[in-house]
Amino acid sequence: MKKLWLFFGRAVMNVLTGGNKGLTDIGQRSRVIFLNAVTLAGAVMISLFSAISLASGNLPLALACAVAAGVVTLNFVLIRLFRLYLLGGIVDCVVIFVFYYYLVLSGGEAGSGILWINTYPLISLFLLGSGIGSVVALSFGAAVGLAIFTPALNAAAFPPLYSARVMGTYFFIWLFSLIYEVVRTNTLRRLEDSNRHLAEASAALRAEKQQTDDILAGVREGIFLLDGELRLGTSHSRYLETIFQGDQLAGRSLLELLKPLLPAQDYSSAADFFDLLLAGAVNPELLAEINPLSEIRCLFPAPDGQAHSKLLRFAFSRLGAVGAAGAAGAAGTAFSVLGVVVDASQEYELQQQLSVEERKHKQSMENLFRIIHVDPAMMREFIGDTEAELDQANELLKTEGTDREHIMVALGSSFHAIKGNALLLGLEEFAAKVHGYEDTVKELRSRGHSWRDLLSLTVGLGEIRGDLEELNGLITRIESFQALTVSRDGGAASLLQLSLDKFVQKESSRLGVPVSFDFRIAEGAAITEEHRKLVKDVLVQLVRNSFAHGFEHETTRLKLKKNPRCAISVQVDEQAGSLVLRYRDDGNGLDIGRIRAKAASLPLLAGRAAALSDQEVIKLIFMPGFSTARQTSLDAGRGEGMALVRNRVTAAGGRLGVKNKPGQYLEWTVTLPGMAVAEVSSA
Amino acid sequence: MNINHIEPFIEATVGVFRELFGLEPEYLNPYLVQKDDRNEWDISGIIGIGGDSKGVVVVSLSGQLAAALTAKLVGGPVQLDDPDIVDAVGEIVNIIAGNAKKGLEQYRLEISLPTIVKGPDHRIAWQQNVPIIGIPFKIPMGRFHLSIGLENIITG
Repeated sequence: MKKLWLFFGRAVMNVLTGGNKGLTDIGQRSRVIFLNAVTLAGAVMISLFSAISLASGNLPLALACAVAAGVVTLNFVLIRLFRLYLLGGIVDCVVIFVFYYYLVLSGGEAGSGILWINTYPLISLFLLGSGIGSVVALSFGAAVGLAIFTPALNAAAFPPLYSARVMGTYFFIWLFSLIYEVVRTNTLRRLEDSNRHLAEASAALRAEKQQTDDILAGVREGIFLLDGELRLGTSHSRYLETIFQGDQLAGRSLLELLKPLLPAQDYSSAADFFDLLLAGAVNPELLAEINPLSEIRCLFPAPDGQAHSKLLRFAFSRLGAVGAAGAAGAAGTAFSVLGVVVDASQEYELQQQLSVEERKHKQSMENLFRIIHVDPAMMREFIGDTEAELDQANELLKTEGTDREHIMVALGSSFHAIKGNALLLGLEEFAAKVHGYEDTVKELRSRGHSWRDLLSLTVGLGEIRGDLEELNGLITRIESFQALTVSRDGGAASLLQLSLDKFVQKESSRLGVPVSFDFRIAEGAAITEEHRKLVKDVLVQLVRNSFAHGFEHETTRLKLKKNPRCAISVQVDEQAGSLVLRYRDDGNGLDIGRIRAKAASLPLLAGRAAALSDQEVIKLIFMPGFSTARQTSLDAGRGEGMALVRNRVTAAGGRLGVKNKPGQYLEWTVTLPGMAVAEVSSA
Repeated sequence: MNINHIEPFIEATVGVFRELFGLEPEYLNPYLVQKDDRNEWDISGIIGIGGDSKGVVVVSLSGQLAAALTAKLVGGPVQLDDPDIVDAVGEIVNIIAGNAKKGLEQYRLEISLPTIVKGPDHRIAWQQNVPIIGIPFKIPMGRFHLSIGLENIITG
């Protein structure tokens, strides 16, 4: 039944709107409904009239009415087909005009035909609008007036006063209809305007909401609102879900979310902080300062059972009164805190890496500082010497079939020499690194080595070469803006003296042993560039030995009636075409007893140690790996130094002599043959 | 230079000779390669490395050895100027790069597709300030050479 009514209602509306579903404008729609209703009603009424006229025998009227009914019905169909509503309205108005006028002229039952005219202003104004409608209605009024005031046309024979009242009524009906129509159309227009404004405003709001949503979806920060209970609002940036590793955060308490991620102590300080934040009694700057979550490490459970740590940075700000009221108005909840959280884990890792780099940089700066305080020529000399050592070791590696043990010994010796030279210039970091390689060689020699160990040492050589290149770059840069302050007239010997002097002073202050250093070159003798490196290597080693083994403690020296200040002297002479170096320290000399004891502890010599002569005992110190020092340090203990001295000197065809006065001094004599004599030192 | 970055290349290289040719290369002593060293190589495969370390790994062979290896692969005699040689060396170096990649998975290293360079005494444009480790290998047919120059990006 209900369905039937519904169908009926739809059918009626279909008829009245002419099947036009696109009539969304309410003014237009009501006009179309009225037009169709008037047309249909007109068609029915005029048909009825035609039937009545036919029954009363008035054939012409019946025919005329039938034609008019036909026209109106056709009009209805045309309106439905073509939707020309103004034209349809005009047709209706004209037909009704003619029909009503006929009723007026014919008079009707007791002159009642005149009554119909009062509907005309309503019809014309409503169908044609206030402008054209008024013109049509007033024209019709004038035509009616002409009929009822002209006695010949006045079929009902109305007295003039009656006619005047009829016209007055008609006029008022038109007037009120006009006012009504004007008010109605204005109201409709205003309604339309406000509807349009509403639509525009809502479109703008939608666009803004879309932007906000886009921002919240794309921003790499967790942005959220908290209410008075610290519950998260429904609108928060999607990244918040990434940070907390879960969705459906809305409505959950931030404190509850943090609880499983934080150590208990941090959690309770966070809770205290939020109390202060919500109370609003503390000023924002102070709050930001005491925020315990400003940088906090949170442990998130990972699927594999291991906790995954993130470094989060939270910032909170209380929303002002306006913001809080606005939020309350919209959602019914008052949000009092705006929070932002970022995941700083990556940044932290980068910072860690950066600090490693900074440490490295600092070391380079130390090198730089060292270089500035050393004559660049000395530094270059060091680089050249070290490169020569590297090349020498590398050549050995390159020579196919070289025994690995032999290479190890050579590498150990090279590392030792490089370390000595580095210490001479105060490049301690560099020396420590090389010392590490030297340690490795020593260890490998004792426990056996593989090809891979050799590879690893080769990489070490490569690292040293890399450092040298770096140093070289630094020196080049410094040289470009540092004027050479040291006169180079003295050439190789002068540079050698300078660097040895510096080395002695440095060791002296480092070990707290006061030492005076005396370096003399006899007239006619010269250390050529060719022999400089050998002489330097030997002297550096002897100086290191003096410090490590020779010099007694200050108090011991006083007891022995020696000068508390230790002394080292180097005398360079020329004897029969050979260069003779005399190196003397006024230390304790060689402790034969101790060397013998050490030898006795070695399996190789255990049985023979006691039988050896003093001269033979002294020779032991040239054995690679033999040392009386109890511990290995940068200063002594490896037993490589004297082996290096002997190897280098014998390799150059020289001789090594020693004069040992226990308790008084130790003097080494190095004789190097084939030294240019007459040649004055060259720069 | 981190030795852990180098080893996968050595293993991959030795592995290729072992599996593809049934040869067990003999490890000769490694040394530092000077950038201007003359060399005896006629053909090189270059693998670029990026990521935590930057640099190149180069496998170099003499023309004779390359021809001998190609002959083994194609199963017939090969002339010194046969274009198959470049393809064969390309394939060998490809396999080395591919296998080395497996050994480097724990490091953040990227490996490029290998490039082949040909010509007597050709030079590799090595980076500045990076030491290059040369590793010669010996097989019955001759020698080949692995040169590795990797820069330390982060030294922990």
